[in-house]
Amino acid sequence: MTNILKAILKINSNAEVSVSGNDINNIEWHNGTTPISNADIEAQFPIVELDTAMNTLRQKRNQLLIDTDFHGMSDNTMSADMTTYRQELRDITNGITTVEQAQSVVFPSKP
Amino acid sequence: MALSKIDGTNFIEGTVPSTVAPGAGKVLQVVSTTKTDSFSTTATSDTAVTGLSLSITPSSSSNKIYVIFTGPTACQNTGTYMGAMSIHRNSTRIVGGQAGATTGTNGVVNSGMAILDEPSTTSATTYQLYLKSEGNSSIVSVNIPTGVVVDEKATITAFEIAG
Repeated sequence: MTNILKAILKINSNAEVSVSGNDINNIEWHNGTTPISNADIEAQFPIVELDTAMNTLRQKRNQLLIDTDFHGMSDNTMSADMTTYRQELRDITNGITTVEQAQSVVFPSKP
Repeated sequence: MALSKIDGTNFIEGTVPSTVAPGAGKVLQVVSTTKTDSFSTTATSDTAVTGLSLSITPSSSSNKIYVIFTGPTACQNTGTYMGAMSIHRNSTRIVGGQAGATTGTNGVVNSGMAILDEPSTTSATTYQLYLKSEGNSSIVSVNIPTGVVVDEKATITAFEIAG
């Protein structure tokens, strides 16, 4: 479900607005915020959905990096395989432009 | 009022406190409203949550109303921001609380807030939940669905307590 408020904030990050039932027809604008048309809000949906998918991907990637952070401690020598693995994790978001790509990423195997 | 009681071997005397009305503390009526869909806002002033209000008419102006809200609330942003919630009586704030804080993109908590109110009226009285964002593009929500949080039920309930 696309978050309508996130779509609105993509257009106006200072918008003060309420949405009931995540229904685009149940929007109330507050404190002088200029209303945005439904068409303009809906045009942001793919961007919000990609943001959400990328956030999910980054959260999983970040956890995998955290799990191997100890290899980088000063009293440890990181192996070449581990260095490659961690770099592949850092680069895993490169070139992703669609939700489908973000959701079909295959993570590298941990050495 | 003086009291005397014989309990077999002893003769006990005492006094019923005149300050406690007979029946005080009894629950006289209960009114409740449950909301199952979501409501989200970025408004930086108290904003009424549609579908989370109720009306109760006290039978005596000396009676109290115990109002309680329970339900999932969330504050979403990429920073550390706060969301506030409050209960209003006839559009006047009577108690406030925290609706959530996040250090990530999503932070759903199960919230609760209650107050023993003394409306001092026998007129229909409305209680409603309000939400407020700290700003900075923070989104404050009731019943925000996630992959984990499902079957959300936000409820506001009022008990009339005999005074």
